[in-house]
Amino acid sequence: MKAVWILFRIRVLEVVRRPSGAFWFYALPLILLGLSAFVFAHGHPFERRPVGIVGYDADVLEKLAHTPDVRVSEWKSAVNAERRLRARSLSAVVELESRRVRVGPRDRLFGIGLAHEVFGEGKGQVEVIDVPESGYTSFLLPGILGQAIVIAGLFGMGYAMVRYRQSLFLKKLRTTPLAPWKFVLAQVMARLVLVQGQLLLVLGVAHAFLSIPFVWTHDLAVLGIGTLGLVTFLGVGFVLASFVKTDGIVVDVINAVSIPIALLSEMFFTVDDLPAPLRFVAANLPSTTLVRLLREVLVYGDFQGVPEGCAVLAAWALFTFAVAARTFRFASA
Amino acid sequence: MSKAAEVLVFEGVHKRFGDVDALAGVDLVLEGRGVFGILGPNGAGKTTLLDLALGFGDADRGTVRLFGGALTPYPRARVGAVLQREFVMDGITVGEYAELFGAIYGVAYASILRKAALEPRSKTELSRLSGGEAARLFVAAATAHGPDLVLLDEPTAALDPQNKERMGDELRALGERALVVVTTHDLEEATRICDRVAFMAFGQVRATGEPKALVERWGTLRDAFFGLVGKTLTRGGEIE
Repeated sequence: MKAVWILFRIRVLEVVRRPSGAFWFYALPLILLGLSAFVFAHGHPFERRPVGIVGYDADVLEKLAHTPDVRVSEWKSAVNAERRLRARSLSAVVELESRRVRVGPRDRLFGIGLAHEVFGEGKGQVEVIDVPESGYTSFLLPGILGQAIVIAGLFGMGYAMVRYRQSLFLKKLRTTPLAPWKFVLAQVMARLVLVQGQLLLVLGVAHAFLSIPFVWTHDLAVLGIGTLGLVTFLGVGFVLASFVKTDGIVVDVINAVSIPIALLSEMFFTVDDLPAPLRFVAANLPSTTLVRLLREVLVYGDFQGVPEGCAVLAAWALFTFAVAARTFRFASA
Repeated sequence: MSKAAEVLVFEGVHKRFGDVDALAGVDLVLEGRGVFGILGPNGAGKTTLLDLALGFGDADRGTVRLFGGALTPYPRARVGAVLQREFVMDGITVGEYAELFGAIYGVAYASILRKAALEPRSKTELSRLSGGEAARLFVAAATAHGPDLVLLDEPTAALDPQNKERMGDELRALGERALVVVTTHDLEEATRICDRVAFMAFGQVRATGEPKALVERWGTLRDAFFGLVGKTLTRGGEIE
């Protein structure tokens, strides 16, 4: 039993002796708790029902703005609003001109109450439309794809480069005439191929089993946006690898980075109800841009924001790779 | 020997890591071809010396010259190196490793396998090779392009006597057409394969010369080693 005691002691000390290890072990749950408390300071993300208004009526908007149980968004196109209703991004669509409230089967009573509130008793019509039960899954799907891309980027470059550097493989390559950028390019290409396969697999399963309609232009756009997003997060991983020295710590750092990203990037819920500072941070994260773009094209079939979103991701990719090119050291004496 | 034959020169080179003087004023001139051994205990500064020769980091003071010029731009195509610890990617086969270095150096990968005498094992995972086979592959890959300078950091440290002898023969053969700089703890090996050696201790070169001359002066190379790198050492300099 003495050996068990010694092994136990060594194992505990292995964690607590390394300051960074001890920090992440004890601090990460606390950070997560603090972050969650901040993120959900205004209640859980599904408490307020999202309602889309098609058309403009200042009185209606004013009235609903002061109704605490709904969150209003304005839509010019009834078609676009309905797409979001079918994907469960909206609980109801209020069409002012036709005095109609459209809801899914599970929101009929909510629709009746909303019509009463907006149009007055008996003056509005409620239409229950067919909303796929997988509606929320279709909302989640782009989030899951986005998360896979983010993790693949961070680990694919961050972890791999730290590991290669720590094991002296990068140093070995620097003894050869191989230009460092060629090595980096090969890493990016390898990850791209692997992630494209991953995206295709998830999309295929979603089309086959989750009632996500197959539209080849949507899937093609997902692959393109996914590529840009992956390059961006490979760049972020590359920057992390510049500052983190060991593979043990880089795993902790990637975990610490990816948790807030998961909470703030609209992967699982919208950030509209977050406290204002977090909303600002969320809106400026490349992961939010990525997930929103994926959702726009895959779920809503809406390509309007694609050029701007892609430009944002491209700018992030250029920025991160430029920083990494200046800070990353392949080898030193 | 003329200035043109200079291959690698250290002049008053200092390198400090934290509060440790890894190199404390190294002067060393390596010329022509042959096998040059760098001997010394752990922490003597041998690997740091090779790192600077490979262009990894700058000396804090002093100058390093390669082929008569500065290290920047580094003439990678004229240098080959095997590090003290060689990493291989998970699952990589002998053939893939040879293919990679063949592509980097622009030579047929089959020639690397042939030089390493590993043609029949090209599909074997590199991690399954014996220490001797792996060392042969690393040296063959690092010298595939026919470099003028080969830097090898303890290439025989993990080898059994038989493989050590075989590797020694290969280094001798390499020394026919290039300058081979090899760090080692093995004094017998140094006596057998090196044309010249340098003894390093505490970041300094304590003596350089032919092994034969050292043996004549000290009795055995072992006595020379302990005499030259010992803490009470007071003598040093070129062995005549």
